[in-house]
Parts: sequence; structure tokens; C-alpha cells
Amino acid sequence: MLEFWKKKQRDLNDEIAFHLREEAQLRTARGESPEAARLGAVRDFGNVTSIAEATRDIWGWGSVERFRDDVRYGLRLMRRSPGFYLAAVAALALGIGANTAIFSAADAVLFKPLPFDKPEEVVSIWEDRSDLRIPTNTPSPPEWQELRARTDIFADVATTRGASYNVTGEGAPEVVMGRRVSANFWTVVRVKPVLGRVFNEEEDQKSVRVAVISYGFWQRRFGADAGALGKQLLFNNQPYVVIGVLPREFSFLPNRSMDVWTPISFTPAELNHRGMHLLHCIARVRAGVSLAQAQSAAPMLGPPGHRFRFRVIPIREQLAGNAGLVLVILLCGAGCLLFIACANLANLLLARGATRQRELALRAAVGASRMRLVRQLLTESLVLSAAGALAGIVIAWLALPMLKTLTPESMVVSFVLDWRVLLFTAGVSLAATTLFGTVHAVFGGRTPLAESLREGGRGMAGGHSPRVHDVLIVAETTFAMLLLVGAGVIVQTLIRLQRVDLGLDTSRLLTMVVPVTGYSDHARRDAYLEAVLKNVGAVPGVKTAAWTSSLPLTDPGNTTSYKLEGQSGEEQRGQDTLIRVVSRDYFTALAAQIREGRMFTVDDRAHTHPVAVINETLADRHFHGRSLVGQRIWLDRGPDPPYVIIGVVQEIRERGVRADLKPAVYLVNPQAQRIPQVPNSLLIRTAVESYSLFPAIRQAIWSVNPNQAIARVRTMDEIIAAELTVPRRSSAFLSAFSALALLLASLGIYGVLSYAVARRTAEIGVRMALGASRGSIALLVARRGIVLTAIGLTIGLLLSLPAVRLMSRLLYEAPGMDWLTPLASAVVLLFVAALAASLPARRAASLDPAVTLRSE
Amino acid sequence: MPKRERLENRLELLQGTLDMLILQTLQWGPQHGHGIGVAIRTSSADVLQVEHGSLYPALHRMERQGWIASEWKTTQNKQRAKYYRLTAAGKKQLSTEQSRWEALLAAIGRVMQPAR
Repeated sequence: MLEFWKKKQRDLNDEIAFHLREEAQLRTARGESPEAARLGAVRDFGNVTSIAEATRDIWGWGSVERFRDDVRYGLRLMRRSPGFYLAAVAALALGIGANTAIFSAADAVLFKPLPFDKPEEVVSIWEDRSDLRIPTNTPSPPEWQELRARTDIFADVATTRGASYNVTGEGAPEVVMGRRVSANFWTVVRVKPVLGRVFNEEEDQKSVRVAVISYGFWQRRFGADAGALGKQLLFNNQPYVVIGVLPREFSFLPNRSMDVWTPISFTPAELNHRGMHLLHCIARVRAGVSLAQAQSAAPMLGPPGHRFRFRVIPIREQLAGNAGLVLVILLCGAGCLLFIACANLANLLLARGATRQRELALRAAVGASRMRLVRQLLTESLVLSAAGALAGIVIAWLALPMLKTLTPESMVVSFVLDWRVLLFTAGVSLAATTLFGTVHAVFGGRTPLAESLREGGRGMAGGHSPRVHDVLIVAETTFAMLLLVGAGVIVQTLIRLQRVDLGLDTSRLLTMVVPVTGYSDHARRDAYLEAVLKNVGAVPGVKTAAWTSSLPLTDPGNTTSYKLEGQSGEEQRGQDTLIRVVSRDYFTALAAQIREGRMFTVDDRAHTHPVAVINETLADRHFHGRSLVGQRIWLDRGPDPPYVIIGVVQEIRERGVRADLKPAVYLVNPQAQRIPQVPNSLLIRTAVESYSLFPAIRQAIWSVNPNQAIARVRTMDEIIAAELTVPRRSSAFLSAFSALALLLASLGIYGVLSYAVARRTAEIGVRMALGASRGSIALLVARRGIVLTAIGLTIGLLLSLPAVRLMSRLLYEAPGMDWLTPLASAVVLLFVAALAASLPARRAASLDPAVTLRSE
Repeated sequence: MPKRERLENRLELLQGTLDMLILQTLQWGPQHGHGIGVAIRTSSADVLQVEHGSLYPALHRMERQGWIASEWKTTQNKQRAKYYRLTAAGKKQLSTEQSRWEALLAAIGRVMQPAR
């Protein structure tokens, strides 16, 4: 294209040159001298340059040429005053970059399609035990069947439970996480396997040992070989046949990548077991039934005596969990930052435009039309916006991986920069830049040209009133205050979370999942567990070791119903507690505090009196003047004999740092033959750094059973850190936003005040000549900045009150508005503003009146 | 702000008139820019002193409009020059302009010399 254009220009030049030569020849033929002939020819032709330009215009390339020139001019301007343009580009880049990154993350979590068909119809169903402060309790098999019977609400209801499998057979032994699902799970979720098939109702009922594997597992173990179908693997020493492979994008629960899916195969006893609360029910609502309808349709299900309420949660909400909310808050933060950035930009451009009045007047005097000037300024704005947008993309690119850590691993979707957001924020910035960059050219007709061109003329007064700057500064500081307060609240939440009393000593506590399989006889398993404990305990450096059926701070479920002595059937209904099966030294290993009574001892064996330890929550709930120690407790409605409560332990956070406190019952392993929960995790308190002992511990375990699989080796500190990742990162982000906002706001104040000082140097000179002290001048200048900040601060504070209230309602333990956060924020903001204002103030105070007055 | 100056001929010919003159000249055969200018001058007995420069934007414009077509040829003096020639559309345009010009002349005539 460029070549064609250049050729055309060359041709035109040739044409004109030819003309001039011909004319010169004609004139020499008529008798003029060669020199006179040449000059005459040129004169006769007219203004060669403007004619050439007019001709090129005809081609329609004129505007492109002018555009190119304008761009070049804009770039030259930028080189000459780098400070200003750097500030402008930085403001743009931060606004665009931060917003794009956050929105892309939010989009991936909140809006992108989930890997199953019509996910808006899919819901999780929980048992609503808000009376026990467990709003989402895991249902039991009879409850699942009742739900399934409600075909008026649900098209179908499937159920799943967790499983961990020790996989042996072809390939290296490994421990995998899996789900046992009812056969209709596949139809509810509507996932088609990429290879093979899924199991059906018959296989589920007949407990046929088939398995559907995940894509990752298939790649890992079978090298993505199609021949994997039909192969046999041993899951916990039981032979299973692989019948299908799931698609790569399919994923189910948060925080686990499920490798293996097997039929849930309830036994008839299990199907009637109302105490067995450990299922996750997932359903598809019937076509035409809305979620609200589903929720309100039948609040109570179940036969009399076993009534329960259920709660329906859309699957997206389930999977996104808390992260969606956090991202929304962050999005608001980014929005505030964008606004501040635009306000800053406006300030900069307006001030700049005013100082360019003289240049514009000169151009107009030389012949530029208003359109031309506007076009030039527009182009400069475009160049600025382009630079800002480019920098913004870079920032967004860098920020995206950081944001990924905020979301649960359930979202297998990858984070991609959302181009729509980029265009939106770039568009907003471009609009702001254009508007404020060209306003002077468009509306600059107020001051006559002559006055603008005069030396030292007040041509800088053209265009806009100084009030605009004031309004912008107030707006900036308002939003900065909002951000500061928001960040303060989140940081406080984090601190509070980190100080939560977990009920155990978390230092040097090593945990690992050790699935014990292949022991159908309880006594034999017991002996195995004891043997492992003995060996591990013998490792030098190990202080105490213990088993548990689920590690503290990890498991979300595993509950059972209970009944206390003296309670009627009425009262018992709906009482649920967490249940844990542990070894004797469990509480010692955790360094948990016993509040009353005693812990398990060696004397609590298989055939001695069954005993149980309860936690504070349970004890307090039923404390009617009489301590519960010594009373009996029945578990899970079964025919089993009761347990005698021997002690009350101080609350151990079983379900997580942020989760509510729940009642819990601890049974010692030898006495827990009939309890479905089995110990599968080891807790080891070490005297030295935990990981250093791991090889020895592993050896100790293998010396009892060389095929024992060991998985998920983590220290308790790591578990906690993982749980606190989200609040930690989000508070980091919000703090970063606030810091940036402070920076931008202070730059804005500094810029506006400097500009005011520059404009009013003459006035300041006059004042000083008339007797004003330097101090009062400095105060005059600085006061404006501080007053504006104070106004913005107050407005921001007022706005933040409802915002904080909303936040504390939606987030975990976010505290309400206290007095410390706004006070600290106000102090910080004022301090920064004062700092920003001090520099121009000092400059004003140091003006020499003689110089300023003379330069008039 | 002062308006952009349009290129003006000495006799302030309307743009359409210049086009018509050029088209008429080209009726006699293809010619390059200089030749067209000289032809207009001599045909009008030096009354129409068309500023040569103003020809070129007009020529390029008419070429874009499709009334004339151009071609680079070598002159007798072995120089490279751009020759323009009339196209079919140009011929049609010429007759349109001619009739318009005659109507204009008649109108002016009626004003200057009221009907007897």
C-alpha cells in the first residue's frame, strides 16, 4: 500500500516537473533568457506546494497524511514533557489493567459455562439444620430417596459420597480421590464419556465393581491408551473394571480432582439408615420449575417422626463458594480505582489544555480551522490512550496469575484476559482522555486570539473554571477514602481470622492420609492401627502419633444423629453432631484442652464400657444445670448401646478456620466397631521440623505393611495457610488498590495545586509585595488542597458506612464498622494530601516578588 | 479563524466551467497537462489566462470521477509525460456541461438585454 502511495506522489512530482520544463522551453522559444524562462514558468504555475497538496487531497489521502503528522507531533510532545505524560499513562494503565484483570477473573468464576449441560438447572440439595446452625447438612440415604420421589420439583436427584482408593494393580500404587455416585448421576449432570460408557442403575444396585475414570487419571496411568477399557485395577484390594473415561473439562467438587467414579451401591441397611449423614445430593430441577419454586415447594419432607427441611443451592454458587463474592468486592475496588484514574487524567488534561492556549491561538492565526485543531488534539488523545491501553494490557497480563490463586480449584476453566472488558475500560479511558483533552479546542472561542498571543497574556484562563478541578479532587479523595476503609475492614478480618483459637497447637504437626483397607475384621484392623502407632511413635523425634477419621480443620461433613439421656423422641429429632473416630492419644497429639472429665486411656478397650468425649458446643447446648459427664449418649438411632460421656474437650475447629462451631462426639477406635467412619489419617506431633522426619515415619509405616499407601502429607500450618489464602490475597489486593488510590489522589492534588500556583504567580507576587508573609502564602496554597481532601474524606466516610455493613453481612467474620479503621484511613489520607500540597506551597512561598512582577 | 482559501483563477472561473474547457480541449485528442493549458490559452486568444497550477487538481479530480483517463507516454523529445484522454462518460459529461452553459448564457443574455 505504501509503495503505491509513494509511486503516486512521485508521478505527480514528475508531472509537475515536466510541465515546468515545457513551459520554460516555450518561453525560451519566445525569446526569454533560460533563467527568466524558468522563473516565469514557476510563477505562472502558481504555488507548487499547495497545488501538490490540493491534488493529493483529491486522492483522499490528505486525512491520512494529516493523521500521521498529528501522531508524530503528539509523540514529540510526549518526549518533551515526559513527567506529565508518564503520570497520565500510568493513571490510564492502572485503571485499565486492574479492571481488566479482575473482571476476567470474576467472569471466569461467575459467568463462564460450567462443564455440564444447562448448569442453571442443576442444584445441590442439603438438609437444612439451621436450628443446629448447620444450614447445609449432608443428607442420609433415606432422605435422598424421599427427595427423589419429589418428581414434581426435581427431574431427578442423584447422590454422591466421597471415597479414597488405594489403587494397585497395573502401574505404581497410588492413592486417589474418588466419588461413589448413584447411577443417575450421569443423567443429572448430563456428561458423556469420551471413551467407553458409564454405569447404569442395574450395576449400581447389584454392586457390580465397575469404574469410570477421569481424563487426567487415564493419561497418567494408561498413557491415554484406548485399550484401558476393560482393564482391571485393584481399588482397596477389590478388583474393579474400567468401563469409561470422562472428558477433560469435567470436574466436580471444589478442592479435589476426582480421579475415579464408582457406583454408590447402597446396601439395604444403608438405604434405611437415617443417621448416615454423609451424602452430597445433586439434582436437576424439573423443566419449568424455578429455583425459588423448588425451594418453597415442600419445606418439610419425610415421614412423621423423621421430618426434615431441605435447602436448594444452585451448582454455580456451590462451586464458586465464597470466591465469587470476594471478586465482586475486588471489582468494586477496581472500579473506584478506575474512577480515580480518570479523574486524575481529567485534571491533568484540563490543566494542560489551558496552558496550550497560546499554541492553539498561534496555529489558528496561521490558518488552521477549528476542526483541524480539534482533530490534532483528538489524535494526541488517541496516542495517549493507546500508550495507556498497551501498558494496561501488560499490567493485566501480570496480574491474572495472581488472581487465579483466589479461586477454588473447581474452576478448571483457564483465566483468559477478557477482551470485552479490555475494550470497555479502554473505551472509558479513551472517552475521558478525548473529552478532557479536546475541550479547550472545542470551547476555546471565549478569549480572542490577539489576547492569547500577547506576551505573558492571561491566555491560560481560557476554557474552564478552576472549580472543575476542585470538584474532581473532591471526587478522587472520596473514592480513595472508600477504598481505604474497605481495605481496612478486610485486613481486620484477616487479622481476626489469624487469631482464631483453633483449639489445638498447630506447630510441628504433620498430617497424612493413610487409607486402611483390606481389613474386614475390626479387631484385626485395630491391631494394625496400633502397630503403626507403635512403630511411628518409636521414630526418634516423634512425640505423639494418633489416628483420626478426619483431620481437624478439613472435613465438611460426617455427622450423625444423637440422643442424650433423658431426652424424649421429640427432642432427639433433628439433633446432629459431628462424629470422629480417633485413637487414644488424639487429644494429646493435638495438645487440645480438656475442660471437664478425662480423655481416653489405655483402659478404654474393645470390650470395656463404651465411652465418648464430647466437645464444648455439645456440652453447652444441653447443659441444664447438670454437667454432661457421666450421662449416656446414643448415636445414630441404631440399636447400638449408648456411650458414656467421660469428658468435655475445648472446641477444636473441626470444619475449618472460618466455619461455625458444631457439636462433636469423639469415639475411641477399639470401641467404634459399628460406626461407619474409620480412622484414615495420621497426626504426628514432632519435636523437630516435621518434614525432616517424614522418611523415617514412612519407613516405620512400611515396616508394618510395605504396601501401605500414604497420601496428602501436609503440616497443619500448611492446611491453615491454604484456607487463609483467599482472605490473605484479597486483603493484599485491596490494600494494593488503596495504596495506588492514595498515590493517584496525591498526584492529583499536587498537580492541581502546582498548576494553580503557576497560574497565579503574578497574584502571589503582588500579595507578597503588599506585605503577606511567606508562611501565609504557603498556607493559602496548601489550605485549598487540605480543605478539598477533608470534604472528600467526609463524603467518602458517609458512603462507606452502608458499604461496610453490606460487606460484613456477606463475608465471613468481617467485623462491622469500628472506629479504628475510618480514623486511621482519614489520618493517612490527610497526611498524604498535606504532603502533596506542601511542595507547591513551598514553591509559592519561595517566589521572589521582584521576579514575578517584572516578568509581566 | 480565516477560511481556507480556494484556488482561484484570474477570471474566477467556476469549477464546472474549467472542467468543461478541459473536456472540450481533449475532444481534439489526448494531451498532457501543459498542452491542455496552452491550448485553452491559445483557443481563447489569450483571454483565458488559466493559472496552470489549477489545472492539475481539476485533472486528477476528473480522472477520479471517470471522465478522463490517463496514460504515461514518451513525447517526441524522449521525455516521460502523462497524457489524458476523454472517456465515454466524459463525452456525455461534456454535452451536459455544454447545454448547461448555453442555458446560463441565454439567461444572462435575457437579463442584460431585455426581450424586445
